[in-house]
Amino acid sequence: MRAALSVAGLRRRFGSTVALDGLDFTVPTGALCGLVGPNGAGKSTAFGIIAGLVQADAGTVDVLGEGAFDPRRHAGRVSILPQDCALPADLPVGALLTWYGRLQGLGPAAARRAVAQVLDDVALSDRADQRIKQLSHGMRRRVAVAQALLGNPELVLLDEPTSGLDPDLVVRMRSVLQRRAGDATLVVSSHVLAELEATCDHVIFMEAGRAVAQGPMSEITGRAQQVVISLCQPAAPFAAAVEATGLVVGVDGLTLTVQGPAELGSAGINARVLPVLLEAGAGVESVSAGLSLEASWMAARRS
Amino acid sequence: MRATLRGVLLTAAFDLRCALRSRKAVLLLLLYLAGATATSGAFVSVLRSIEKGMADTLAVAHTEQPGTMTASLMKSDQLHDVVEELVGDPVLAAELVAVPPLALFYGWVAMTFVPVLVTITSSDAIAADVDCGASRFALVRSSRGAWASGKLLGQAVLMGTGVALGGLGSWMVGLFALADYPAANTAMWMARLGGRACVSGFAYLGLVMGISQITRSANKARAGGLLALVLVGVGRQFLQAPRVHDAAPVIFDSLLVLFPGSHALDLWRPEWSQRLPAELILLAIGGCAFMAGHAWFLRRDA
Repeated sequence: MRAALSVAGLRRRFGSTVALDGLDFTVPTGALCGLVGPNGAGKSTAFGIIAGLVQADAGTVDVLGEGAFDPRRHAGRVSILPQDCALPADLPVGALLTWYGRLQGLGPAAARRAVAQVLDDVALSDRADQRIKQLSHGMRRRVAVAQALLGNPELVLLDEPTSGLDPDLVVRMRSVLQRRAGDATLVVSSHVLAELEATCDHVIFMEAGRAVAQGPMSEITGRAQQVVISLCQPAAPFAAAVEATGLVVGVDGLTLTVQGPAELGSAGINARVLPVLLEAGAGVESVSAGLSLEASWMAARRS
Repeated sequence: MRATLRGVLLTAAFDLRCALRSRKAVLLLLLYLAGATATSGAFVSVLRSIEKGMADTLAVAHTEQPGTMTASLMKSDQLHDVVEELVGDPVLAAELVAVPPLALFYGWVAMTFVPVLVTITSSDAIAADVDCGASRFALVRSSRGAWASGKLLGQAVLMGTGVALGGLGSWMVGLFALADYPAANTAMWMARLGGRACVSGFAYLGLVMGISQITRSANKARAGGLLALVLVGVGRQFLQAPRVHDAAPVIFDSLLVLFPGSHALDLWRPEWSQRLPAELILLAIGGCAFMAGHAWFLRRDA
């Protein structure tokens, strides 16, 4: 599949601080990709370089298969929700978004339609006539998200889109992003790993300016080839019985981690292992496919 | 090219709208209006006291409304000689004497204060947006060139609006306070001189907006703009000082061309063929200063 975004050997220093140190990653077209990393990993710098706002010291960026970002080619097709950026305070929400729409090439009527749609997406339709400075922090953040979704761009870069939003809106935002994925490629940076796990189908782990792991979510978390089984008693006595089914077993206290070939899938692993455990009276408390994104992240950092 | 022009015009219109929505720009426009009106009012008062003094000296009755004697005075050969002596050019002196006194005064006020007001209004026009990050929302939708040029155009229109408002205020003072007021002729001359003040102001506008692209701090841009205004004024005085100038006249005369103030007198010349070079140089100074800042802006983070 054609990559919507690929970066190679991206480097950037700010004085003595190395923000990006040879960053390489690829995001397939139509993916909803999570970008995970601690503070200072270089996520925002990477977004800035991809969108042409920050200069790279070295490396290449290929946006939508057409080379580095160029507003003449990519205006309206690539959008960004930057971190910690203030919207012009004195204009009404609707007028501001309409201007963004016009600037990215939409006609007046199309811009108004697109604005109505994104305001509905972020639940701000009733605030179109209010000035930005009259909105709360969370509402301003939603307007910033709305501008990034304006006019159905092909590649959307969202830096902490749910920061400052209440739980209802986080759920709503998740649904909006999932609806947009497929038609568009979305790259979402967030510290809330559970949120990314629930939303994304692709993930990139960043650490100290480099990508330490990347791939489909199922591959990174081992969903396709790994099952984690929690028992209500120590797992060690049951390991041999599970190994006898031809699968690889790991034991950690009350937890069994069972790995099999990818073609078997987590359902196939369950079908082999669970009857053995139930027959042995192991007391199965919970079964989950693969590791959580958080556990995968911790494992990637350790390695 | 068409997309770039569209970006420039959209950004200019947006910038103007933002400026007018913010109290700062409205206050500054009111300042243009109030400044021109107040100084014109003061000028009329001075005229009144001069005429009263003259009437007392000549032992004739003076009128409450000034202007009658001024009109006669402006036509006198004595005044022509004084002005010719001042500007050192008989053609220019004849032209200046023909200009209605209030328009002449307004032209002087506009050309003197527009650079200051432009520096106050526009020096942070780009840096403030970069500083708070608002520029990032626009720069993924428009090229940096179109965005910055749009900002320049928006500020130029704002400057023109201020000059026009100032002219209107000054003209209204004359209408209500002066006798024998040549309203149409004064309006025509105010429009002409206001336009020339805008050309002069553009040199300073380009300069401060060039500086605004070099730094991402709004405060530094404001300070840089004021510093540039002072340096341009002081630098010209320094190069013109006989002790300095006579040391290397050719070099210093060439350098003086780069200072907007060096072309101020030429803006008063009657013949367009004499005025045009100065106007083109002033526009070029503004354009080049803006482009120099923009070359820097293109290579840095927004």
